[in-house]
Amino acid sequence: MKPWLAALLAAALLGCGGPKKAEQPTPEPEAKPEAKRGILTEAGKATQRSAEGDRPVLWNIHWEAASLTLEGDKPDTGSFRGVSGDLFREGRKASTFKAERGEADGSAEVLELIGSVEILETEHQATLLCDHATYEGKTGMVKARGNVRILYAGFTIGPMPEAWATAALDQAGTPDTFKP
Amino acid sequence: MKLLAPILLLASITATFGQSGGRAPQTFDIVGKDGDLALRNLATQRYARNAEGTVTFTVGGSPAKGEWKARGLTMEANRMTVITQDGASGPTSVVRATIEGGRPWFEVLQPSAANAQTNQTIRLESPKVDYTATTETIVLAAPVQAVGRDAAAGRLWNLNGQNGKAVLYPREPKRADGAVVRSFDLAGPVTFSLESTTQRAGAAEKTTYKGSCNRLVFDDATKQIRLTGNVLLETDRFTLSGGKGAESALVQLDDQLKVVSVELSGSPGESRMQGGGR
Repeated sequence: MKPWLAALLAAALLGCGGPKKAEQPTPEPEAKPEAKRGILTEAGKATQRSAEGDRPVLWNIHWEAASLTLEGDKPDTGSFRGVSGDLFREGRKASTFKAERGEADGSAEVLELIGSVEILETEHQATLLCDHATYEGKTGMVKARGNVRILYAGFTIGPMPEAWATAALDQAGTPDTFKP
Repeated sequence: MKLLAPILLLASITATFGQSGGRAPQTFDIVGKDGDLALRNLATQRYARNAEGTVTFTVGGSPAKGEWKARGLTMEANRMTVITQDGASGPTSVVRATIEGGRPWFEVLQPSAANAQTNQTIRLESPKVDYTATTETIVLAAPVQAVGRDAAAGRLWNLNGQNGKAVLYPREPKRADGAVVRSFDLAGPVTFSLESTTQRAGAAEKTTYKGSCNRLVFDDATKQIRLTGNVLLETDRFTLSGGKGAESALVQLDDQLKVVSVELSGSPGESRMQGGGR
């Protein structure tokens, strides 16, 4: 597959492009499920935007390789290797990330980061390290699991089995105490 | 079937406990960049960055343990809220600490003036301890137990009361007399004991003052302890109230915080003792 086609498909998966069309109230006749098929792509990048309001950016993602699942001609999910990018909160860049793998679900606005996850906030020199992180674009929250450590300029916290944080890492806590 | 349901429920509960049984819950620490400040044995934590260059840690543990080595403070409680400097461009010093839950205690450790190789300790036990570093003030909720111990100086005091407030001397600059407590105000009913050991002709001579009152106020500037309301005071040798409370008593201490004199006033009549049993 050509890189430009892969990027185009990934962009479609991640919700890039112009405003969404108005939803059609008329129910369409039940379509026959189409067979899913996977494709492999080369390096690329994409931007995920929210479906709400003025569609602020939720994250930028770069990848070294990706496999996309297509349902018919439409991308369904994406799995990326060697990922890095930016997390946004309320349309503003809050932190950067990198991980061994990533999985994006554009319709749920969720980005999964897997393996040697690092989330860095440069202004206050904060870093979150963990095995697995879920970034929820709708809430702007990072839910980190597995050997979670948070390094601030003055303090090191962890390792914790699980911690939640804002994308800017200005608030973080174990799930039972976290209130963004 | 009626019998089977409880058995299945019991089996389910047993299986649940069996899966988690024996596994110690994972705890973690929060450690300052130079290791000077630490919160340990934590099960929960919340970090929030404040606007004024400070951060707030709200932590829990069974118990959570805190230490601030530069200030000589250690503490334990099930819940702590600790506000610190964020450490981005300076030390990670404590601004304020509130501890509660479980059996909270707060301890100040400082080298003894009598022998710098040994420490004197002030240990405060209270259901809620609120320490503010800027004023070195400690507010204690009822009931309070406070114990001061300086083995090198031969000094031991023990106070029990209700609400209390202690003000400490700052750690720096170091005081020549090694004093830790600037003032202590303890509401009653208060019971207390002051024990001092003096070496005389090679032998240790111990003197103990103990008693009770409605309020105890210590002021290090005057080296006086003022006891008010229904004061009962006795030593190894004397009972100073005759078994009935006096209105007040003034205990004068020397620089080593050993009793020099005691003056009682009010019912059961004026009485005065000089020498403090030394």
